[in-house]
Amino acid sequence: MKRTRRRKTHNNDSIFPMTVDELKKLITGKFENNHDFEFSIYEHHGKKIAVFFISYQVKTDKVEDFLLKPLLSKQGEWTSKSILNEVPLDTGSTTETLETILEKLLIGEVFVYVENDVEIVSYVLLKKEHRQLSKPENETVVLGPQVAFTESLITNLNIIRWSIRSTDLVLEKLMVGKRSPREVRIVYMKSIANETDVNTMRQRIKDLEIDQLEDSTTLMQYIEDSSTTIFPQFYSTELPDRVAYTVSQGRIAVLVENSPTAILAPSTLFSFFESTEDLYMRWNVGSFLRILRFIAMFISVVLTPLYVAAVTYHYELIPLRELITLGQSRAVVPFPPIIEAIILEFLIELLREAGARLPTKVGQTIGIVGGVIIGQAVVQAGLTSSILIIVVALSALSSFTAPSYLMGTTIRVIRYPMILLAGMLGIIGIMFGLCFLLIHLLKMTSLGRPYLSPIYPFRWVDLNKVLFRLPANYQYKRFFSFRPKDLLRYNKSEAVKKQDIDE
Amino acid sequence: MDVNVKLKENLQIRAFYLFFIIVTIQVGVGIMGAPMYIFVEARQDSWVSIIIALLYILMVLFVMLLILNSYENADIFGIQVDIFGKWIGKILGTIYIVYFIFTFFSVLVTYIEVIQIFIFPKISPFFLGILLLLLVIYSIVGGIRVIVGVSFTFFVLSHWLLFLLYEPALRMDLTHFQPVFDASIIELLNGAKATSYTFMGFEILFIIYPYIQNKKQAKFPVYFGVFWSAMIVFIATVVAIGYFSPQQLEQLEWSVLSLFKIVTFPFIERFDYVVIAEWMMVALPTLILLMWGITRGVKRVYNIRQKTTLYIVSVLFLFGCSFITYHHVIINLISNVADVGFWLVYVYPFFLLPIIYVKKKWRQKQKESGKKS
Amino acid sequence: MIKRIIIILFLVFSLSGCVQSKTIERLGIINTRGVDLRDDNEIEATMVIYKFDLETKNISEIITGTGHTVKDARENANLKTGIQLASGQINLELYGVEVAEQGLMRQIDTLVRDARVSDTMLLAVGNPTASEIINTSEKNVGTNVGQYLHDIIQQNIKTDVLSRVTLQDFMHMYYDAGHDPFLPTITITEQKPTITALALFKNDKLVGQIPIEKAYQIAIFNKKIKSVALEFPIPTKPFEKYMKKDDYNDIDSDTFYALFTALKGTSKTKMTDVKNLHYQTDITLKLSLHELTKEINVKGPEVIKLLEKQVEKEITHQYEELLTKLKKLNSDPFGYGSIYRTNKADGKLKKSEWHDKFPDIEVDFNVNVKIIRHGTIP
Repeated sequence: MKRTRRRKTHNNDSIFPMTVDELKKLITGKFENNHDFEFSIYEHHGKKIAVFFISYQVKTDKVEDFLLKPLLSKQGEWTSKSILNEVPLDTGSTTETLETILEKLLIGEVFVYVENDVEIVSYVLLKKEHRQLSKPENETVVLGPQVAFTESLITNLNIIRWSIRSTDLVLEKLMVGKRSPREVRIVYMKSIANETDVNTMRQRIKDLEIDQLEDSTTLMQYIEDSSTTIFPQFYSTELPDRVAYTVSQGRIAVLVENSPTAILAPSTLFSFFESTEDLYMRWNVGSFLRILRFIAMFISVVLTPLYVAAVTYHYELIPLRELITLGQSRAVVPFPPIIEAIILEFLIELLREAGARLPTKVGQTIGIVGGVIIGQAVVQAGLTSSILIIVVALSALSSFTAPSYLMGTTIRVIRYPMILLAGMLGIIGIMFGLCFLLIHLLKMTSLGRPYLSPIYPFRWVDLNKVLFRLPANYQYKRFFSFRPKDLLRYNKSEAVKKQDIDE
Repeated sequence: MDVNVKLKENLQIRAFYLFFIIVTIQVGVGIMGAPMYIFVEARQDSWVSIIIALLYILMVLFVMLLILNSYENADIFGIQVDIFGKWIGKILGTIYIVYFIFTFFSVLVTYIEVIQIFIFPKISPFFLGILLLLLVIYSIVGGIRVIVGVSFTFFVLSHWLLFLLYEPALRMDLTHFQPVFDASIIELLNGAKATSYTFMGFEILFIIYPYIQNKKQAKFPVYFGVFWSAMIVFIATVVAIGYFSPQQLEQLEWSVLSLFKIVTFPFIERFDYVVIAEWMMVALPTLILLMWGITRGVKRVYNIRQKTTLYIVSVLFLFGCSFITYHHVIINLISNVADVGFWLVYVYPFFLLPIIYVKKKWRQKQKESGKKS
Repeated sequence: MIKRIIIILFLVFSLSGCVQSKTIERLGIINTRGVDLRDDNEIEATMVIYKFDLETKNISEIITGTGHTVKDARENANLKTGIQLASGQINLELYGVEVAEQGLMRQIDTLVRDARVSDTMLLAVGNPTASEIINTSEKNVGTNVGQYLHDIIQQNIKTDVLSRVTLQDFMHMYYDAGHDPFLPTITITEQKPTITALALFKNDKLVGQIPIEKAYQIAIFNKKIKSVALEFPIPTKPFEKYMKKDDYNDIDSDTFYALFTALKGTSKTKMTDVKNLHYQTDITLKLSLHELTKEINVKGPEVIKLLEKQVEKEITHQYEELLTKLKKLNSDPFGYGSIYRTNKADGKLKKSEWHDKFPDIEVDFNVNVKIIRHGTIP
């Protein structure tokens, strides 16, 4: 591909022809105090040939074996064209301007210049360090592929290609960042993905005017629909199988260089409660787990506020026997229920944060120490009632069932305003909070698609992909709400063919 | 002012949602007290009254759809201007807006009063007003998509309340319905008229109709929506009559809420508290749709930005609801709204339809004679 | 957006003071309330409250107050304690006989008006006074008197001795013309509270009592009874030839007792003659035989038939006796009036009208007993 560019006419920015010494001066001038820049000059048949590169960006053994050896052993004169023709490396290209030279130097290309030639030849011999593929850490699954993305974009693309072996798969390349650009890839299926979505995504990434991109999660924040909301609008995953499944369903994935997480778009609220494991399970078990997670989220948001509301305002709500136990354990607590609840919620959050920051071994101990010892001590010291410990633990546990870490965190944060509302207005406050959340969710969009679909806009046919799962012969359609180009996954008539008894 | 409404395509909604819009705007706070008002008139045959009311409303809706379909894509404000000319049309449009304003106000004040009676006797209505109006404003700013979404999701999320009625339904005393068909026709009709406040709201169809994408399929959801809300009122009334003694029911202001008083669960002793809080999900869509009707109407008639109206009207409501504290004022308000609404909602369409037809004919003739000359 | 959030938060915080909080440890939660009439015609309320305190282990406490109304009395009691008395969890309200005789509607009205009071709370009559029941019980039962009293009644409702006696049921029966309410009576026997009788009301006034053993006769009119234990005296004579030989010397006592459990009991009432107030009530009982005080060989269908017939006779007799008593008291807990109303031409009936007519009604009791099980021993 790149060889065709050779025939390009010289433009005005061209710095060539020049002597090798001039070139050395020019380039080294750009790399002052940079000891890793290597610039060597060889004399070959009376002509000076310059070879330069940054040593740690390049595989030096390859430079010696495949570039220098043929270069110096040939009988006869070199020109840039003959180099490209005769040196046994296939990534060669020619350049003329200083800026491109510098750019290419940084990503690990090796340059060869024959004195007084009109162009300079470069080869990609880059050396890139990356870690080995490893097990997923954040989104662990029991069943299914046990591999996570790494920081290397090449490796990630490689995994995806192997997952979806189809010519339909497009891995569109974009560069983001003015000062230090990063490679970003938009991954989608040409014949399935909705074109508007792809265009929107491409446009949003292209329109970015930032100096540099830190990670895919920051890219996510730059391109999301609403930046004021607390809810994540795109799913961020480290699981290649999740990306492969999502892309094959007609949605879009975005990969960023040096980032071990992919962005999935558009996403709905419900996709944050889907685990790929649901797919690997049998449909009835998968449905159960999915519904369990929805219930868990509801509990997580509502339970502690309900405790606060009931104990502060609505003692009538509590059944009599619980009222007695509750009253007895509350009697020792010096704070009003709202403070009591916030203290304990805060404690749990501290434990979680400490556990996440500390090294793994210490982190585990913190969990146990925190859970058992501090919990007991807090009750004995009379700072909280023992029932609240159960309530808070239950709601914290529930929030951890969310497969998406981002969503789990969001749910936990939502709890605080809910507790405040419950402490101020009781059950009416909780209801106000829930109504507000719902309206807020109704307003939200992800890549221009409604966030609550398929509940609203209501699509009956999509419910089996979101709220529960059905046997495979009913899952023959893709997610209609996102308007994929090709709705059918496989033929229905084949799938649901029924046999008579003993046929 | 254009008679027909031009809308961007992405603002249109499927006819399917009309069902939810009609049900949520009809079933609001009115149903909480409905059984008592119907029972006072039609006694044990109240359920017949509800069926009569349903049939009558279906007739009204039939006429309303005829009116709307005789135009390309018009709402009531445009139609009135087209029929009666600019001035009278605008005045009639204003009457609609004022009617919506008072209906909104009655719903808001009623729900606030219910919270005060059942949960927080000392809470200031001003504060509750802020809470409710905040939610109303927040969803209306989101536009028609969010408004319809609210009515849809809140419909789904509040209908489980119906299942709680099984407990009082089990304790029904069937002798309360005997002797059957005892009430006279006049009493039955009076009973049907007593439902007018409860069933009000479907006139939103006059305003929201231009937003419907597939107008040909609009009939079924509209009729079915009215049927559904009639069914809910029917169930509530039947259970209330069976559960309460006649004399008791006559004195119960919020009989439907009182039905929930005996519902208990092992984990929640008193479910009526939960029901009243949950009722926010029933009252809110009504409020939101009415408020949308107000802002939309003002925009159509006076060409004022919807946001401006929204904020101004909300502030007025807020002060209004903090001044109304006496119970009888609220009752008067409701009965006045019911009276005015009765003529505007249940009677007026029957007058409008022939006028439209006559005018259409007349125009056609004019066209033809114009061609001839 | 942020500005808006700040404004909202400010409003919420500034106005949050409007709601009065009721934190449970600062409340005295009334669990049971006894209402009595004092000599000076004032109301005395004896309340069992739950108070959650650091110092005392005993959570329930009894306090009293007096006043012209129950609410007054509560306020008065409030003055004596440092805590706020709350009525949202009253499970049982006991009325002294004297109050009940004067009419309960005045007291019950306050309960109904208060949206915080649950409709499922139980009502009962305390004989002689509610305060005596509560105070004696506390001495002998120990902690948590309220729950104890509540459980006694609840247990009897579950075993179908009583039909439901919640606030709602009382109201329902009171307001239904042609139906008079009834409540269980609790007395102290052997230092412990016991349900001994069923108090019968005319409108809302206590007029008489029947022993609790006969309460099932009324309960069967209101619900299907499923588990109540019944005991009937049965004449010995017809059974002479089925008696076991070694028991023969005992023949001189002319009645023996049979103990049954009702497996299913239903009733159906028809009005046969509206003008002359004639009713026919069919009572169907399916029984399981548990115990006989005389050893009788119950093998064979003819003994069972005979036994069934004797029980039917006894029950019919009991009903007739009961009806005569009720007519005398002019209280109609069966709800014959409601049936009269539904059969009347205009469907309207006034309470006073029915009380004029009730003593003149005539009922044919048609009892149908089936003994379907008699245990493992024949």
